[in-house]
Amino acid sequence: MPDEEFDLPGCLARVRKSDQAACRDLVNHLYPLVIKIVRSHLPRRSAEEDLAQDIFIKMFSRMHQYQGTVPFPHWVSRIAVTTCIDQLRSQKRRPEYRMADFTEDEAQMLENVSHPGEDTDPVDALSARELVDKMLATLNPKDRTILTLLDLEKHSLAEIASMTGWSITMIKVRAFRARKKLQKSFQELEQKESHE
Amino acid sequence: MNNKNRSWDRLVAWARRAPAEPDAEPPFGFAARVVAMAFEREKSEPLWETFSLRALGLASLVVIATMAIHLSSPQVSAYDDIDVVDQAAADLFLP
Repeated sequence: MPDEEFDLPGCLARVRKSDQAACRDLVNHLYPLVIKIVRSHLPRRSAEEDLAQDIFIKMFSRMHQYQGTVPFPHWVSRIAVTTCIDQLRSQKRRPEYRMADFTEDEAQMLENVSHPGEDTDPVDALSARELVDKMLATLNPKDRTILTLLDLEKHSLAEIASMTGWSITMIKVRAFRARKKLQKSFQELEQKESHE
Repeated sequence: MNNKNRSWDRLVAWARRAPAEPDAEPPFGFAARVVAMAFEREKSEPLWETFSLRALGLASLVVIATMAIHLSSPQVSAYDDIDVVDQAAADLFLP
């Protein structure tokens, strides 16, 4: 998380005067926020540094557009989220999984969530996280972003609206549809498993 | 909701128990590289804009010069062509 004692307004004022040291401080300050967004959107981490770099360069090039109507980290989050969605769109292909595509732990986790009452140990949380990433990868980029922020990271609707610039109604509708799609995926996976 | 409809909720609830990743530190030299690239880009953009403005100015001059040449040249009226056709028709068909 960004350092609480960091003088963000002061730093921004120096950035606007093209103070390179202040620019570097700003990048270092915001890096954890930006990389967290990048990582939560891209399961494959091959290009996370490149993407973070693109986000910061966009941030500097659009600095004159920042009006101060939303907190600066939220404004940067919007740039990060939009850049990640563009990146996901460019990948185009969304996977369709069969049970055979999951690891043993993920398959067991799928079994556990489909048939509640069976205990899971804390180690399974990592399998659950991997499985969540795979399920989210089947959704379109905006839906993936919304469910990541809403269900996984537990942000409020108002926070997501501020971070993305999307309306609360749109977020609710997309979240509802995306969950329905995931429910269908769970059912299809179970059906495929029973046929295999 | 039935069990299947709750599958996603249960899965994300378990996934949230996964230990949070420690705050990431930027790789060594990352901030310096990004800032250098941002400043480089900022420097190149006004240059590009300057060239664009120059090109626009040049194009405007060409348009004005073309208009001036066109307007100053002797006007050939469409009626001249009609007169020629009329004359030819008269020669052919009138006694």
